[in-house]
Amino acid sequence: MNDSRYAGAILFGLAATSALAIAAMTLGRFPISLPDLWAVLWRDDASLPASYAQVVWNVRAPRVAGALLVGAALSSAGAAFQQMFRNPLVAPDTLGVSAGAALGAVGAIFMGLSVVAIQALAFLGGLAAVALVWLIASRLRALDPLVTLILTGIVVAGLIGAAISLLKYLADPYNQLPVITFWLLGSLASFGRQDFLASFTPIAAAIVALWLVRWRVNLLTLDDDEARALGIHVTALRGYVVCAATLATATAVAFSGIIGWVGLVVPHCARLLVGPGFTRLLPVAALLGAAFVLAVDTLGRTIAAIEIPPGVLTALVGSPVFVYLLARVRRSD
Amino acid sequence: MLDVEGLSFGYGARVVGEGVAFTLMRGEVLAVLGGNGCGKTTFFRTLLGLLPALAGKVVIDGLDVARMSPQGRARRFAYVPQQHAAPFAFTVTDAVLMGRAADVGWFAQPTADDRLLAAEALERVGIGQLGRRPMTEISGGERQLALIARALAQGAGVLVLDEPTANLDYGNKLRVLREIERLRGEGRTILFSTHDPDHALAHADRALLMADGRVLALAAVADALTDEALSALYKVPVRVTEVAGVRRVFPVTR
Repeated sequence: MNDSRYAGAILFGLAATSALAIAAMTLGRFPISLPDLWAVLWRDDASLPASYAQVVWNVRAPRVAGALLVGAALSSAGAAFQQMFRNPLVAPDTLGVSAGAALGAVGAIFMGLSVVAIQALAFLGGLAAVALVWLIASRLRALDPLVTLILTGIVVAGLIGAAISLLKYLADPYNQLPVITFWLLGSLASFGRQDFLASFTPIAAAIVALWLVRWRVNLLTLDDDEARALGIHVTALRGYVVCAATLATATAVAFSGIIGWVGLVVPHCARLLVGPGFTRLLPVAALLGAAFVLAVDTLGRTIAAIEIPPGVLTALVGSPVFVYLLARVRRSD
Repeated sequence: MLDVEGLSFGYGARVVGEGVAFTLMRGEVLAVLGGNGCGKTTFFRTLLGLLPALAGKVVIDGLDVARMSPQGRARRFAYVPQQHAAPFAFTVTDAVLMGRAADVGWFAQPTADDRLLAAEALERVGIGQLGRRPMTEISGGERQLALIARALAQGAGVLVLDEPTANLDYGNKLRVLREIERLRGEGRTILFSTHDPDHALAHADRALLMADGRVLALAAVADALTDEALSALYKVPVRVTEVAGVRRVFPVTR
């Protein structure tokens, strides 16, 4: 795909992200005008009440940063999964990675473990889920691979959903259940500075890890035999990509719950814009994903009197797009 | 030089071919004939080191293929799979560039030299003008030529082509066969499978006949493709006859 479209997509992504970030900082129950925002951010103005700095630095900035981080993580992971499964319809959600990560995190909350343990169990849960889906789907050779993978993902996600339900049933209804339920809905409302600091490193590391193999990842879109005959160690490369993409997904899920559809829809739109080459796909997907989740989160907390979870809005956008993708996807044989 | 020594291949307990042995020099061509599911692909996968041999070994330039790294194998063997619809629309240039993977490190990008080799390979198969088109939007014959270009960019001495003329129209078939002939002239060792015995007669030095997971014959083309062998292979009476200096296969009419 040509260079000007790539440059255009990057510029659009940067502009949209910046504009949305500024809008998100000013909008909300406690409106802050642009000059006031400027004053708080750069001038440390003593004339403004302390509540301004409190809202900007402790509430909105972490939340905006969290939305950007989670969006970039989910759509980078989605782009990687789609590339390595040769399937434009898979994503962290359809592969059961998000559900597995959620089970790990819910399990950790249930056992009253620390934040680090929640993250670690979310990662292990996501990894186990994608391994299970992959194992089952690779045994079902008779069906169309495109559909098989998605159906298997649904089955595994369903199984994990049952396990999560069991944990909710067993959870303490006063202390644990509200936490688990609210968190499962997917929300950035409680995303604070500590959360940002704890989630930034794993997500950044995962995206950088994907960026490092950006050219080689393209060879995973070939048949296994083809890629191996070209000198690629397919199993090792795929394991590497799965670990990186799962780390990004699981970290996002551990801090913001399940925000669906982002990892499916955004990489697909990015591919329509700049083509399938991962070198261009990854940055564009990450940028657009960040902008998308920030937009959805900001809308969710401003359009109604109550806060609408971002997952609700991403589903509103995502499900029709998914149907559209299903309708236009070519038969793979 | 490619040496196949007492090679047995198959999946676990299911032996497909046994004791296959031959030597191919530079510029020699082996055609593999047989119906669908006869074991041609299993043979190729074993030869390429993608499937472990049940017995025997494949030796290239004095080295055992089973002991080579994936990169080492890729530098000696290039595989041209049956063309198929790819899920993602990479450009022809990007697809050919993937042939350089063995020489590009895990965390590296193809260099300017790699790009030059890819562009040259495209020119050599005569589709240089298609470089910027997506693989999904060119014809089957052009896609086959692009895959051959990828194999050339790989720089391997042995080319293994799985049914390179399948699903192609007449003109594209001729283009692909002409390309095989040209590569043979360049001194490459070529193995290809085909459903058309005429292609084997015209372009191969040796033929391997397989049916129902068994090796029927492995010999020089003239000795392997006899009336009896071909009639048995395809289960219709046929006769090999020389017409205008070319040996061809004709159905026997009453």
